[in-house]
Amino acid sequence: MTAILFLALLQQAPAADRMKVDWERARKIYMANCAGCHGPEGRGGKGADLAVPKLRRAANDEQLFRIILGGIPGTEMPPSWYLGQNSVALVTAYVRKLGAAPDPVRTPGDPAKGKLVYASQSCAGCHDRGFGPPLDEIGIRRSLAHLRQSLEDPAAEVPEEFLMMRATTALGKQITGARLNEDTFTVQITDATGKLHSFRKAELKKLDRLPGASPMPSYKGTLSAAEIDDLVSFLAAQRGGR
Amino acid sequence: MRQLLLTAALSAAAFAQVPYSRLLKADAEPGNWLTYSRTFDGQRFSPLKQITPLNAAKLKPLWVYQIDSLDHFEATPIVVDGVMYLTEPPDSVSALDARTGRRLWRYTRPVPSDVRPCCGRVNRGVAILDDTLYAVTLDAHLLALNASNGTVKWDIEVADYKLGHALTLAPLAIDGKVLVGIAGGEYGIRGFIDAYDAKSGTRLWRFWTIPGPGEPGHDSWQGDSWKTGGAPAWVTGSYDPELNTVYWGTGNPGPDWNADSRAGDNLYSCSLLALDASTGKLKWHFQFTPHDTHDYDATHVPVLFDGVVRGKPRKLVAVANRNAFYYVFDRVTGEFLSGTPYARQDWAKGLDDRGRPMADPAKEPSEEGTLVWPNLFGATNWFSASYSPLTKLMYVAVREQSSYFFKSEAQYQPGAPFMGGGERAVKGDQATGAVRALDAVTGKRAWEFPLKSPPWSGVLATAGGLVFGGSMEGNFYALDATTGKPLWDFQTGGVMYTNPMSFAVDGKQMVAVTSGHALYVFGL
Ligand code: HEC
Ligand code: HEC
Repeated sequence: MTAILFLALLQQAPAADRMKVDWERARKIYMANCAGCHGPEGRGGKGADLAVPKLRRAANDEQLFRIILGGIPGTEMPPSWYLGQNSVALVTAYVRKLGAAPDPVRTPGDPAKGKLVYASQSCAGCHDRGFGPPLDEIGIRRSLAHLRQSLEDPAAEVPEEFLMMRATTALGKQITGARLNEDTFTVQITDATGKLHSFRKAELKKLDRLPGASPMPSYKGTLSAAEIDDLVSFLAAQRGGR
Repeated sequence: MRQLLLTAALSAAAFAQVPYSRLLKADAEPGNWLTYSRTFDGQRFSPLKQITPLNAAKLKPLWVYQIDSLDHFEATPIVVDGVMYLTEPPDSVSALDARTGRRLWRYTRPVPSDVRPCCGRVNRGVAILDDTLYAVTLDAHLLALNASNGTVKWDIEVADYKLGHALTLAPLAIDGKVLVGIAGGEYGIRGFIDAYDAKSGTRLWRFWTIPGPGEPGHDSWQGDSWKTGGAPAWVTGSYDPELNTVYWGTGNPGPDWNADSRAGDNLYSCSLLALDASTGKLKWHFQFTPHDTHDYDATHVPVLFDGVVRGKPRKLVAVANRNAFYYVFDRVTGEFLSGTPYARQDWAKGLDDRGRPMADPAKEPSEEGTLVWPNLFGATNWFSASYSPLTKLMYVAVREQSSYFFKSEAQYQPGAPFMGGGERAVKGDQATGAVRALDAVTGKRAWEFPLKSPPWSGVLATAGGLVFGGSMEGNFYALDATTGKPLWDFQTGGVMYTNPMSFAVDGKQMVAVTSGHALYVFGL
């Protein structure tokens, strides 16, 4: 469906104050459609932490309804128009409730130390060069648990635009790297040195997708538990310049 | 300046004079493309054969025409004697010099700001008859324009856009009449197909795609649900002049995914209709998806061709349906001859002897979401299939994608979306696409060419032995019509919601296709 339809649906938004909230139903809708990314308590996961008194993108209920109905274009936050206005209104109320009395989030380590670890491990060598997602707002987008997972088991969830691929040329040379783009006839891959490879598929002997692999190394074992804690709190503090 | 341009163009080409006799024998004019699908039979086949598997690799862009709008550019241009006529979204009709792409005139009629078509501000093209072009508008008007300069001859309201009606198709012009089908199946409209007098714009007949009280089929709707039951007719139909029959597909019943209030088959939603062109009376119908709950519109260009079925020569009509089955009928009697799945589907356990699907109740949309193949956009969509009388293959752009179907509340409010649910994408979805060549009579697959993603571009077969198509990533490509082997491709840099076509100027074959916000024309 298109943005135009969302706009039309928005005009039918039920007024939250007139609505009687069936909390059990609201919880069920949230668990089925949101918890997978935002966590059962809204503490986040792949999705943002919703158990906060002030949502960055939704100052009021109308904006919150709008975000849930239409998603956030350009991010992994999907639209939920398919639930219908009533369910979206219910889940809007539920998200507000999650944020009403949140426990204070305690980050596990020391962000200042984490910053040093970040520099010493040359994380920026990939992340500031497009061989990894930008991290300047990562603290808003991801929960602590997800950040920890990214460091210890980066292959657990690899975003589409960093899918690993292995190209085997006609001469048998193998190039492995992150897929930057692909169409029916061509593919563009960057290898670990940052070098760009562009192939016509017809000229390759073989092209493999490596869905279980990540370009990023795991730091479990390489870094101490305390260093990982510090890194997680440093990353959690990356909330953009704004 | 304008005057100069016109004079210059006239020196090489003449603005159209297309009496009905020319439309009838459109096949005798290989270099022209006179109707939406080139010929009344809906085959979208070009008899041009300059571009062949041997030289296709040498294709290159000849000119590009850019539009000002960011809306999807879905139009198929028509070409008459060196002049190309097309619609530009959301609200313009243009004439271009088909040799150079230079514009000769453009007519714009701003759409009201409160128009809210469900699925984009699109327009799929014009029809021509005599010296007049016919085009529709998003606020559901039908226009007649002077082909020579774009001035308005008449402008009539077909339906009230404030109630969710819209028009997006290329009209069908036949003998003295112009036919259109309404869009708005997501807004609780009652669908119809209209015929207007080509000279005056007076309505000659209307066929309601949902029968009213007392009419056969009315009892396939529960209570008053027929009044808001949808069944739009938003893609151009085909025409058999000998049988004087118009073939037209209809869309989904409404509300789309919550059918609690519309028990019954919901005739004539998701159907193929055969209408008497003079009166609009129904000759026969076939309902592909009775009581649809997956938004499987049957709004496809019906393809008419003749073939031998089980030893008997027949006049046929075939449809590769959004519901993933390929159907063949006798187009005189409406007899169902065969139905074969051509893409992955699991909403039906199969078709019975009469072509009625055995729908799987476990695949109904639900509050929790039900995983179903294909997704709501279907195994194919509005974009056209193409039939080659040379290979006797039907070429279909196929989508392979599933989704979770949801059901939610649906309350009718005039002019507001009336859908009762929707779909959610599958996480880590491995959706793909293909062009498949089917034996047009049996539906048996001859070959397939895989595409990275489910396409929104139709296909064009040519007598040169090629099939052209487009991809979501902007690849425009040519395949060998006999083997499916890719011969040439070009990165257009835009997303392709389109149908290719082919024409010739000064004996030079060209292939045209829209992509992103531009029209590309290729040649050798
Ligand atoms: C596929 C994962 C996914 C699902 C499912 C999902 N979200 Fe999100 N959501 C995200 C991500 C990622 C973001 C952060 C987007 C950004 O800002 O970059 C987000 C952001 C949000 C925000 C904005 C947070 C802020 O700080 O302003 C809200 C509110 C939200 N989601 C609510 C929901 C609700 C309610 C549902 C269920 C109906 C849902 N989401 C389902 C991934 C998801
Ligand atoms: C070899 C290049 C490389 C290095 C070195 C690297 N990363 Fe990554 N990183 C990536 C790529 C590629 C991804 C995306 C794929 C994935 O999530 O597995 C990623 C993902 C991440 C994510 C998850 C991003 C998201 O949107 O969920 C975080 C957090 C992260 N990296 C932090 C770090 C930190 C901290 C370091 C240094 C200790 C580091 N990375 C070192 C390449 C790298």
